[in-house]
Amino acid sequence: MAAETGTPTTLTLKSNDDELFSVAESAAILSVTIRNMVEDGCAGGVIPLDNVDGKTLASVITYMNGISAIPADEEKKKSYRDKFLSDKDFETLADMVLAANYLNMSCLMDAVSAKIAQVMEKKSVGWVRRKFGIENDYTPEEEAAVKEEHKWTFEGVETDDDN
Amino acid sequence: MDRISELPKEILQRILYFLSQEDVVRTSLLSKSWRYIWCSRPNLVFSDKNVYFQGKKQEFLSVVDETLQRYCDRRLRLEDFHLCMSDRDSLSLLDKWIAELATMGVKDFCLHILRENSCRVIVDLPVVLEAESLKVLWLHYCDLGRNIPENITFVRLQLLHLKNALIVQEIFDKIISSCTLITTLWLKDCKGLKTIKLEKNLHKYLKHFTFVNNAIYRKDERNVEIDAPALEKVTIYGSKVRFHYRKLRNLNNLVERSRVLCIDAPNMECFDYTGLVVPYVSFAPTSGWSNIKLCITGHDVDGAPSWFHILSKFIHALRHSIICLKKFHCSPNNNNLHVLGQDDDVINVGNRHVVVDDLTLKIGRSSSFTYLLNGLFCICRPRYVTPHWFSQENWNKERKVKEARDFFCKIEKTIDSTGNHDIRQYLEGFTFEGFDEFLLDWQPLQVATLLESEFVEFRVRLQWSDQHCESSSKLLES
Repeated sequence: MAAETGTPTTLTLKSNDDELFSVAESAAILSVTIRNMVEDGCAGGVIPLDNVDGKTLASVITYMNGISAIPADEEKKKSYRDKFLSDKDFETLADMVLAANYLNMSCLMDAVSAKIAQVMEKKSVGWVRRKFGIENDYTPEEEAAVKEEHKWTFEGVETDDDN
Repeated sequence: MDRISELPKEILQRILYFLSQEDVVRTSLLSKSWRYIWCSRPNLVFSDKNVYFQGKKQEFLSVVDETLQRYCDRRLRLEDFHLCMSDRDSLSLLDKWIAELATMGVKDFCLHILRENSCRVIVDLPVVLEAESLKVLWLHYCDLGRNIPENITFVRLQLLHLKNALIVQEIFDKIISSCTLITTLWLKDCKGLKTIKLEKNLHKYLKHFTFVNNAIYRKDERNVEIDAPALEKVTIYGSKVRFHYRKLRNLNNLVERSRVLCIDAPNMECFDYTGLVVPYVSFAPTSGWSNIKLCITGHDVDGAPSWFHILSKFIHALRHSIICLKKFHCSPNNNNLHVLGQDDDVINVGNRHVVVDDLTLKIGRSSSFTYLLNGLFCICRPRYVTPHWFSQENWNKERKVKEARDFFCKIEKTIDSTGNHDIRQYLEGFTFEGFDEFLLDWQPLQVATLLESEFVEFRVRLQWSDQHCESSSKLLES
C-alpha cells in the first residue's frame, strides 16, 4: 500500500474501447468498485472497466485527481465539482452518471445527478421535453387527465414558449 | 428512445432526488414512461411558498397529507422529509405527520417554519424527540417544548442543525448525551441554551461544530467546552460567548481574561473563526485553511503587547495551514496600539515568523494603521495585504481609487519610515496589484495611473527574504 512504502502506487485502468490510463491508487479508490478490486488483490495487472469508454474514463480520472488533491474542505470540493461540471453538455453528463454509478462514486454521482436535475428546475413540461428530446406519447386526453390530477404543480413554471 | 429516458430507473430516481415536489410531480407528464417514476422516490420536499398555494393553505396541507399517506399505505421507502411552511395553525397535522415519519423510519427530517411579518413564530414540537430513526434533524423556528422526556434516544443522529430554536438546557443535554454518532453540530441563535459540553468519550466522531450567536441574545453568556478528538472544522461566531476548556485553565495566566476560548481538537483540518477574542488553541491544522476574522475593540487592545503576544501564539499554532487573517477595527480609537513596535521578541515570544497567505485589513478612520501593521509584521509574514473599507460597496470608482491610493501611500510610508528592524532587514520588495476583471487575474499597477485603470480590487504583494521561517508555503506551491 502507498502509505507503507512511501511511494505512491499507480494503477492501470482499461476502458471498454481498450484505452489504458494510469492513475494514483489514492485517487482511484474514490471509486468503491476499484477499491474493492484493489482490496481483492486485482490491482497488480490492468483493471478492466467494461462499462466505461475511454473519453468518459479520461474525464472521470481528471475528476478523481482534482478532487483528491483538495484537503478535507467540503466547500472547496463543492466549488471544484461545480467548476468541473460547468462546461459539460447533457450527453457527457449522461455518460458520466452511468460511469459514476458503475464505478460506485457517490460524490460524482450526486454532483452529476444534481446538475441534470438543475436543468428541469421550475421548467415547463414542453421545455424539458425539447431539452432532452423526449417524445410525448400521451394522447391529448391522457395528457389532460394527468395534468388535472397534479394541477398544483403547474404554477410558476417557465412557459412552453421559452426555448 | 431519447438518452435521459433510457437511463436506468435507479439513476433517474437519483436525479429526481434533487428536485422539489412540484418539479418532480410534473415529470409524470413528460411521456408515458415517466408517468410513475417520481412516485416512489425516497424523499419528499414540500414548500408552501409555491405560487399555487398562495391563499390555499388547506390544499397545501391535503397534498402533503395525501402524499405522506400514500407512502405509508404502500409501505414505500421514505428517507428524507423536508417541509417548509409558514402556517402555524396546522400543528395537530404536524404532530401526526412527525409521528408517522417516526414509524416509517425517516432518517432525515428538516422542518423550516417561516416567519410571518417578522414576528417570531415558534412551533411547539416535543413530538420530534421521539423520532429514534433520525440521522439528520434540521429545525428552524421551532420550540422543543418544556416537558423533559425521561429518555431521548437519538442513537443514530449524525447531524443536528438548530436555527432559532427554543430548547431548554435539560433537553439539549439529553439529546447531546444520547447521540454518540454525531458528526455535525450546527447551532444558530438557540434560545435557552447556556452550556454546550462536548466530551471526548461521548462525541468521538464529531467533525464539524458551528456555533453562531447573533445580536438577539447577546446578553446571555454562553459556555462552550469542546473536547472532541475528531474535530475537523470549527466555525464560531458570537461576541459574548464564553468558552473554556478545563485542561488549559492553568496553562497560562493570560487565560484569566474575561472572555476566553480554548479548543482542543487534535484532528483539526480547517478552522474558521470570527470573534473578539484571540482563542487559545491546542491543535495544529496540518493541511487546509485557517480563516480567521478578528475584531479589535478598545477593550482588547488595552494591553496591546499581550494581545499581540496571544495572537502570535495563536497563528503559530496554525502555521502548517494556509492562514487568511482578517482584522477589523471596531473601535474608532485604537491609540493603545502606539506602544508597539519597540521590541519584537517580547511580542513574538521567540517564535519564527509565520507565513500568512492573505492579511485583510479593514480600514476605518483609525490612526493606528501604521502601528498595527508594524505589530503584525513582528509576528507574521503576510504574502498579501488586502485593504477592505467600510461601506465600499456604495462607492463610485473615483472614491475607490482615492482610498486605494491612500492605502498604498500608507503602506509605502509604513515601510519607508519604520523603526522596525525586521521590515528593514527582511522585506525584499513589495508590489501594488489590482484585480483585472477581464483577465480575471491580479496585475501590477502604478499608483500614478490608477484612475485610468479598470481595477476594482487592490492588494499589496510582499516578498520576504527570511524564507527559513516555518511556513505553509510548500503547501501553497504544491
